[in-house]
Amino acid sequence: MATTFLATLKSLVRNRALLFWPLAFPIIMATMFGAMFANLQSGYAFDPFQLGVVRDANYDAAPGLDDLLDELSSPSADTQYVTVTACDDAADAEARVDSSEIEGYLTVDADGTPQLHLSRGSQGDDKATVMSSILDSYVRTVAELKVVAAEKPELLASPSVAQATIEAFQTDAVSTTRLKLTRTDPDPSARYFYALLAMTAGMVAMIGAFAVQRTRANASPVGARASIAGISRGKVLMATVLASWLCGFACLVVAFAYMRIVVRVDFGGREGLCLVALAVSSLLAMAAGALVGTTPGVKTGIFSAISCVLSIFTGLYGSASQRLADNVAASFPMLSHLNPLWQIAHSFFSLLYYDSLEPFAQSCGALLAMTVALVAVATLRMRRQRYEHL
Amino acid sequence: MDAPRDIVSIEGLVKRYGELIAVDHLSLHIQAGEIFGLLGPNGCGKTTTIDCALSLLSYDKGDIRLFGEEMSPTRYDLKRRIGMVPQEVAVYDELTVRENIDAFCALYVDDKRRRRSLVDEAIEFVGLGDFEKFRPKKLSGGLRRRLNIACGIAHKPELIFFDEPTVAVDPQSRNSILEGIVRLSREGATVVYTSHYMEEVEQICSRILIMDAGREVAQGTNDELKAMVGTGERIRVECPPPSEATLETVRRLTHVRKADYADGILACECANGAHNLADVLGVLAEAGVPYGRVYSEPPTLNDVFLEITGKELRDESVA
Repeated sequence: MATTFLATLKSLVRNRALLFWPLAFPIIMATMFGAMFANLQSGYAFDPFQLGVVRDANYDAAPGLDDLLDELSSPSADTQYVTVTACDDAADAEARVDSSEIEGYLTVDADGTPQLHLSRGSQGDDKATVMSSILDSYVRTVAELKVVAAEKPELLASPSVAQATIEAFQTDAVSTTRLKLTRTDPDPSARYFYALLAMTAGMVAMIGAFAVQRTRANASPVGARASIAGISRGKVLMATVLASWLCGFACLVVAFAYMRIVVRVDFGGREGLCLVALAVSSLLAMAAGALVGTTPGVKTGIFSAISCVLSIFTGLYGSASQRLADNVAASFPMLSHLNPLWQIAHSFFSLLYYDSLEPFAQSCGALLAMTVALVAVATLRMRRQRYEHL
Repeated sequence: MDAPRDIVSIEGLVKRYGELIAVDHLSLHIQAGEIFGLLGPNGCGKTTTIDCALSLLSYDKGDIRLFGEEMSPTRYDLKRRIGMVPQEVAVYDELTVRENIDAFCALYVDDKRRRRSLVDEAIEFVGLGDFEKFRPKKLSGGLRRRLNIACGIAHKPELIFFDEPTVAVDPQSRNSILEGIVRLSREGATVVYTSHYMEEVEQICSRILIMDAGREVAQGTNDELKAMVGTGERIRVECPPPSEATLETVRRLTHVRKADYADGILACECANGAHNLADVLGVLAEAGVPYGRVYSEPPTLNDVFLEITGKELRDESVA
């Protein structure tokens, strides 16, 4: 049985035509996706506003402004909004704007009001708008504190009371609170890679179908030879399925490793569990392959067609496909849950976004249930099979 | 003296595919050490008979015993004693010659060391020593056939089924294959050999069963089969046109069944007789007809088939 296993494994690994879809195709597609989404990712990243600051007496007198800029320019913050360049005076700042060293500069009026001067290029720019909003917020808070100082000085009587008052203002000033609902930041490109891995699992089924077909006496001469062998058909079949599962799993692992290491796709730091998902996915693929392998007249190429169709509902083909997939998942969840490729993609989503492993376990459970059902049907077919041929 | 032991015993085998009767009440008995030929046109049921014997196919009626025991799909003890060389080359295209033989030998022999020596022997037997590391696609048609044989015999089976192993093979490889089969028989294996090439069957088989449309046409040794039909020999004499009287005299000879002259050749079809050629040449000499080259051909299995079925064995359209 070990020799049959090794012989099958070798024959599968050396079959270039067979391995194109489960091995070469995902690597080619992942490379293309990687190139496409590299620009998309940079579009989502916030590029700090290059701000010049005229550090004169007015600036020094502006309460809390320097602290605010320190906070906004801190590289250790979640988002670095500005990079600060100290300027001697407005003329120096203008010169730096002209040389494109900075995108704008900040001066403070005699009455303590900060003024943002923008270069022509950055007017209307998102970063400049964000900077303006921050400064507006600063001006509003300072003005409100001045009113408090005038009307209720007791609220600023001691440093601790003043701190509490300022914090109250800051809290009131924030109209929305950012809550992190997912383990990691949403990565729009991850969906494509997960859908691609799911599609690859669909293609992996070809390996199982090919290998099982080759054990059938009425489907291949090698099968006829194996059928009169001195060991049971069950053992031959077991060795064949194990070898094809290992080959399929290896294909998925290679695709996964390429995505993770070369394309740097985010799997939420749960790579070990991703391997579990891949193992389960390849099991399902083998079961589907075995079923087709026992069906006379069905070509292994059927899996490329099935995978292409099911991938519509995993969102592989772009935003329209993703909207359709989301609509189907929302309106007819059972349809999505019955789609093995959706379950595979979902298992990776679960690992990326959920703290709990329950959704992941649910997807894996669904995949295993499908595997058991397919294996049962394939086994029944194999038992009933008669090798009728002329 | 012990009675000859049946290695293969098939009684009243019937195999139907719907309305089509592929094998129709076929019986045969093959004894140890024989090379038994199953001869018949394509589609006559030879492969079906073998597949039934090997339990690759279910059958509708009959009794099949191998080594004196009932054969079934799960009789792995019997299967371990059998080798099969199928009509199509049944090997893994992705494995080398050695890997292929080892993979198929492993279906019968667990012990790695013993298998290595068996694989070595099989490679030597079929003469593929220089091609051990070649993959099948790199081999010529003849060498692929030899590999096909090596995969079927490496485990040293006692009973070997060869299903048309020389189809699409060059004459040199064909001879090598036939010699190999005879050698296997000499080493003690019982061989069942199917073919639609009567010359091969005549050359190597000790007993022959001729089939047509799933039925037995005739069974026996080469000589027994030829004795079943009237044709003894065919005589062809290159000569100028004999007179009608001379031709009539030839026709009246005791064993001459038919005599015609065409294209400078006098062709006579004779029944079994001891002096047919001398008698014909005597008539020509008496009539003063000079003759050149003379051919005397013994009857072939095709004559047997033709006489019994009215069809040519070579006719591929016969099914």
